Amino acid sequence: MRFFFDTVVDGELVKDNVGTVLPDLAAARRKATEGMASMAKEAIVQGARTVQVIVRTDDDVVARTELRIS
Amino acid sequence: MADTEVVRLARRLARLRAPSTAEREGLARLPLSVSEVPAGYHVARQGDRPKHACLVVEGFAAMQKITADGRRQILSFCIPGDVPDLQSFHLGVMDCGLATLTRAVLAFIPHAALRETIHQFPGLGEMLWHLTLVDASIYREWIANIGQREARARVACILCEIMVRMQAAGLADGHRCYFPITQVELADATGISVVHMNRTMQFLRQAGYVSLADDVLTVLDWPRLSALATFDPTYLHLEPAGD
Repeated sequence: MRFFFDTVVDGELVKDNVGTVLPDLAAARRKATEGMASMAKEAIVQGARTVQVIVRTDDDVVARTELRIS
Repeated sequence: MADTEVVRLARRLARLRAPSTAEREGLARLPLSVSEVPAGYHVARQGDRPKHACLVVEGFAAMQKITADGRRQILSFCIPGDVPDLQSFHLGVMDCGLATLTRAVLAFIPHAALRETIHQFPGLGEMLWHLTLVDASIYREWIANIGQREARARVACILCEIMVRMQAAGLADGHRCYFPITQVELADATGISVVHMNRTMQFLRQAGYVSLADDVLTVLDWPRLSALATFDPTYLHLEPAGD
């Protein structure tokens, strides 16, 4: 199953047009969390306030993870 | 050794100095076995004791370590002309693996024949030593890259490196070259997640640094890409070393 991981840092959306083939939604959630951790490390240091990873299958959003610094 | 392989190896070794006619003949007499292998072929695995060194003639390969829990760290990308597992000639046992990333043509050079040739032509031994020293220099740059650069610069640095090495190997057309490396492989090489890699590559494309389509990398703006990467090609030691 192909999952797409759109990412948003402080409102700046980058759509994933490649996608990643993964066995199931649980695996996609893990990828999203890893992606969040990897991006947040830099984004926070650079002063970003929100980081989001939105997981899609073609057009349906199937999972969403968000980090907010206040 | 067939012409293609001699040319590839001689060209790669010539980073130190041009091989003499006798040395080139010595190389040409090496008994090679040439194989065409598919992508994902394990040339050598961690713990193997190879009896030959592998010259990449066509295609891309990678040196890699697999952790106990199955994660892969790509240690370097190997392009035609490289002899990535040459260190096993002296070290005996492989402390990391070598696998192809694409269909590849590989030429295997028996260690025994290599030893005889080096005894006969000590200058070739120096050139091969030089080659492994440059490999080590690339590993050092990668440690600094992974440890200290932010993701955009980190990926930009790898793209710059591949482009310059392909140019030096005569395999680039200006700032355009074959680049079959996937985002998953780039993520495993740079230590960032696949999701983060996707965002980073999209940025590099959309901001007009590079285009990447059908396994072809085009650097659209070399000055900006190399500035973003803080890329300094010194570590590739492309200039003859001199005396």
